[in-house]
Amino acid sequence: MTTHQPEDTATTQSWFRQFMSDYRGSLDFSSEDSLLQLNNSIEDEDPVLHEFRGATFLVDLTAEGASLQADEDDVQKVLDQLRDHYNITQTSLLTGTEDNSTVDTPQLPPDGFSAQCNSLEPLTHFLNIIIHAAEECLPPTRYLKYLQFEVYGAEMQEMFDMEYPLRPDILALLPSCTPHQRDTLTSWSDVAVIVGVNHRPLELIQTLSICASRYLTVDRRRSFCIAITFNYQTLKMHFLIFHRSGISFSPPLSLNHVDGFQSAIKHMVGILSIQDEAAFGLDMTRVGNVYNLNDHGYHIIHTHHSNNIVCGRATVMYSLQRTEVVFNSL
Amino acid sequence: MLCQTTGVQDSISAISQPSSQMLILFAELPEKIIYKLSYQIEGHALKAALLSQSFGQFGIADVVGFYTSSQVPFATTTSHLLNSQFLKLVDDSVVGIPEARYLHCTAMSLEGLSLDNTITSLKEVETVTERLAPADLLETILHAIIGEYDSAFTFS
Repeated sequence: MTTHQPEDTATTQSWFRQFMSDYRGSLDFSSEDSLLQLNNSIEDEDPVLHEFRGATFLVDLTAEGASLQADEDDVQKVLDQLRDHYNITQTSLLTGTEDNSTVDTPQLPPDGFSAQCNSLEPLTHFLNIIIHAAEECLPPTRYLKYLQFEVYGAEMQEMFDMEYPLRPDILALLPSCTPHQRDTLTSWSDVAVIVGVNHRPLELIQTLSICASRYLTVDRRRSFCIAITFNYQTLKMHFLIFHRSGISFSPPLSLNHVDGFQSAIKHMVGILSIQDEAAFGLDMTRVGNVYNLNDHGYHIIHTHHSNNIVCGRATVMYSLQRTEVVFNSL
Repeated sequence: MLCQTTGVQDSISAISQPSSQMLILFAELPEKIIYKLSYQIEGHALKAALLSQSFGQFGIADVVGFYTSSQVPFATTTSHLLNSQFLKLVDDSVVGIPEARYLHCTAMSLEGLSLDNTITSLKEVETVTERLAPADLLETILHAIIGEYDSAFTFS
């Protein structure tokens, strides 16, 4: 996960001020020692971490009734399919070097990658092969059935910050979207899952938090954001849900261990088992810019207020006007 | 347009546990409304209940409908917090407890009744001041102006 960071100290302070200002819009980071304060009490001074202060939780995301609920039988089917049809097991996955992974045979070096850029393609291969295995053994009616991960690393279409844009490492686009073309930028509204790759967890969470904020801001039908972190040195993954009560983390899933490998598959099955838009956390009373209220369509004619935080009330207030559109299906 | 009250207030005031129910109490909505969506902590009182007591008086926008739910993923964070444990991100993290949030949707008229109407009403028997204690009335007016609502508002 990358954001552009200038080299020298003076510019770095300027970058931080811009970063903070962009994120909160109201904080004053003009004092000379703001960077020192950030280091002394990171959670107090970093606006990103401050937003989630006391609101980070360890959760079994795949448990019954949880966001990424996964059926044990389905998980076993996908594990069997990976083993029998793709020759993918925890052992076979970790027999590679940094550059011999392919789309059909994902491989990771057991000692981790030496650089972040070397890990992106192999990780993408691994995530996509799970999707292919799931296609063949999970029920056909699933909202994210045709999910596909791809290395991104480019700016997003919605330029919240022209000077220092976000460049997500890997994205999974919604099934309804066409694959990303190199000459076009992807919109946050087309994204289903965000993947961040780094060996510094806090930095990764900070950047993913900003991505989640953008993701939820661009489409206010959404209520949560699914993300994955990957430490390219230790081969540990986390599955995350950013939501209005904070961040829910899966336990660390080490691909160096069978349990971690199987649990990573289980979380992916949980994502792929999401049945419909409602389970994906979308507002089913709204289509585009029209709300369905008491079987009447109400078009948004003005947004009076929109609080674009992830965690908190996230209040939004609209002026609505009745239209002739009727939502019989809602 | 001058919007009249809709009768939804009685339903709002009857709710004792606003965050644990699924309620759609929209009456016939006007052509134009203000629609507010906000995720409130579990147990937090409905703002609709506060504002609806003014019945549009004193220029306070009248509440014409509201909705809260714990039944759909969009409207609650409960599914993200099942059996959750606090996870310390940094050494000096403040230990937090999971707080489920629920979506509160409030539909309001574009504006409250005119001041002339208020003065007229005050002269009549059916005045808002008979329904609201002075402190509640002041709180409602201040909230409508400032937009803050953190007091320990309780339902009768």
